[in-house]
Amino acid sequence: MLVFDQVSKSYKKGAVKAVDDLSLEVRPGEIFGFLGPNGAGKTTSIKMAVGLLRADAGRITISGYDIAKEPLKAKACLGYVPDNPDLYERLTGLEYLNFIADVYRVPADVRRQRISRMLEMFELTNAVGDLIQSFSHGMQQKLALTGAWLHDPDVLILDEPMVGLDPRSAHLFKDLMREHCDRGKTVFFSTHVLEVAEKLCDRIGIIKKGKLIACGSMDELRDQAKNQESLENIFLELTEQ
Amino acid sequence: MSMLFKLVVLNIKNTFGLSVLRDRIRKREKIWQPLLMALLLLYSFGVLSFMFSRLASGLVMAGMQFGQPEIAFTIAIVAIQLVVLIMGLFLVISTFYFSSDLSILVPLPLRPSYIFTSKLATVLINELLTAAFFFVPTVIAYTRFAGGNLVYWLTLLIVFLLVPMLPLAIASVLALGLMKVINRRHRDTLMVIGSLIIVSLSLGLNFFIQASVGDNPAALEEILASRFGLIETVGSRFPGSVWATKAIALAGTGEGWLNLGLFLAMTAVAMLLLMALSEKLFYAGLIGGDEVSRKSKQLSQVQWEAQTSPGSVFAALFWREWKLFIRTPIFALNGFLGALVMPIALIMPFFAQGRGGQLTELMVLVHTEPGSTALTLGVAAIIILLGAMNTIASTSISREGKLFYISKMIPVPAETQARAKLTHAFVGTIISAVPITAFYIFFIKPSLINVVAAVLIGLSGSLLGLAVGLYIDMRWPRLHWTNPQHAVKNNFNAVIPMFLEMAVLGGSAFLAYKLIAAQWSVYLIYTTFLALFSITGLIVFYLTVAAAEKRYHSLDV
Repeated sequence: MLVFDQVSKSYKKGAVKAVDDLSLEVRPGEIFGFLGPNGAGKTTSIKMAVGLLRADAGRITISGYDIAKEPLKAKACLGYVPDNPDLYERLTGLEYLNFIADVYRVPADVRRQRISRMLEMFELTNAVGDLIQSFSHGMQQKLALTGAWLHDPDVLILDEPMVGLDPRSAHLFKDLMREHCDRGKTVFFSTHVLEVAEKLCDRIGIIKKGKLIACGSMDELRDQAKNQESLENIFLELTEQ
Repeated sequence: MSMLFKLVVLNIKNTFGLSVLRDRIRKREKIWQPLLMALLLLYSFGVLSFMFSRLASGLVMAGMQFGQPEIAFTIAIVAIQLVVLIMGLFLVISTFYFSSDLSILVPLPLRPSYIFTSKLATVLINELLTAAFFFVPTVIAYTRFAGGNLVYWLTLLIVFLLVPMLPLAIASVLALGLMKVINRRHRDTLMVIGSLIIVSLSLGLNFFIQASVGDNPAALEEILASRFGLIETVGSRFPGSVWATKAIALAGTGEGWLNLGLFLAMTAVAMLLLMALSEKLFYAGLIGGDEVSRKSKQLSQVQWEAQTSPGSVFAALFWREWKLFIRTPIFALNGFLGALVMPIALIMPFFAQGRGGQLTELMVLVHTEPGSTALTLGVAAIIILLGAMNTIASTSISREGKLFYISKMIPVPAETQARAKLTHAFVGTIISAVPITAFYIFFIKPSLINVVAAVLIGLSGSLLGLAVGLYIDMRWPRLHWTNPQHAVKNNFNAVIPMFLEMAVLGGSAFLAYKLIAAQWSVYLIYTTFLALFSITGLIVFYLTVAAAEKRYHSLDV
């Protein structure tokens, strides 16, 4: 569903390699956690996957569509929430959601049903008629997640989705991710919360200085890291090497 | 004091992107971009200065006839003070109360007046650039006639640096007072009220000055006969302009030093008072300004269904543009205030000087040829200029700022997005055209065909500026701003279409003159312009839309 094939990206005329020959495949029905220290290349990889940055080399496909060659088809198959959910502050929450539903061409009954469900889950029903500028950071994050879910995308790409969510919302959101993948869809997300990644993800990739240094299920990662028990220990061992 | 200095330097670096520029130069990365910008800036400075230099030379020559060539300085200084007062208020309000970096600065252990002053310094630099447009040509025109020694040049420099300070201080006091009075959570209201006050003030002032210019030959003779008489009359309502003028004219003499001292002292007192006032009032109006109350009311079933009903992709994009523009006071005021003020400014001289009779004469003129054709084309030219001045197209990518990622992310062709932006800009231009057209109909009472021609020619002529404006903004958008003001007012992209349209209008005026002289029929002249503008505009419109995909693709966010 989401494939990075030898993807590279550098800045300053090649002096700084942000992403270096990244190859990985996220399969249907899989929740994939993307971990790495600050500045490792997580956000750059994500931005390339959603078409916000151009890769210098390699190929990224979403549901079989190359994001560089068929961007519109690829974008129609994905939902994205950035690390900082900046939204149109001068629109109301519902105006924003309806805008997103219109540009993804979500039919009326489907959009109403999905919006209702998500707003209820995130307890935003009473706030959605207000301007987004009146929303707290967490509320904006919830609204961004609702928008990304509206067209039921094949691939959800989320950069630090748990930041700003209260414990209850975070719990329900994790259930929603699992339910999404149980229907054969894919979730690819970056996080620094290792406990969440450990419990939730089917597979995990660890990136360091632009290179994928480990990838696999928890058991496979344990093998790579001399049988460390927790993901935290594995992460620390692999990234400190 | 060293902390204040550091803060000023930090704010200047941040506002004008100096650190980014230094980084680019050090790494030799895309240096051509700032160089090109500098060249364009120099070019526009040259064009504007050239326009003003002719006026300045004329003023010096006229003043010489009465032995008062310094009148050029008085007029330039008065003009600077008025422009800074009017334009400065917008800049001051947005810089003091809308900058996003304030949330970083306020929690620091710094005195409110320090933060305030450091922000004021950035506004002052902006206003000095504005002042240079008026001041430099005047200096050239006057110095050519009078020459000047070292003291003269030193005085010029001091006066130049001080001139914008007093009007800025007045604008700042107004802003501080308004913010104190208005509920701090209604910052948008502050922006609108502030703008209305300043427009009323400037129009009132204009009315007052024009009304006070009487037709009394004896008094005029007396003014002209005495040394500095004319200067004192012109500058009487503008504190400091006479002192500044005398300081320059009498540089090096005792009287020159005295006038420079007075001007300096007045400015210093105004700035010190402002700093003291800011210590008391700045935080009182600022803190809590980010908070926006929520109604938190559940929508009724009817509201819910209406607000979730589907629409076309194009309509969704258009309404996004429209709502974001109209609901952001800085954008909306920048877009439409000029269109509202223009007709009032045009009609004012007739009433201020009691020349209602001349208006009747004008009406007679427009019902005869070639006056009727010329006036119709003149109204069309104003509509074209207003279209370029509203900057809706030329800042439309920049206005998105960091939210441009949404436009890049959605599965909608960039062509469709560009078409929606241009449609929004065109609708904005239609709205800009309403007051001037209403003024034309109400005061001049032209025939229907002339009204239709003025509107159609004006709107078709605006297409070129809109399309070029959008292309420029797609090519060099200003996406990284901390204050919405930077996206529209401090955005050089907004100025280029105005120059382009001015050049087009210059050529069109020449063509119109030739066609009228060749006795072409009115209908043929109108049709020629309509066809010329429509064809050119539509070609550039479609070229811009066609270029959108490539431009959007090249913008990394």
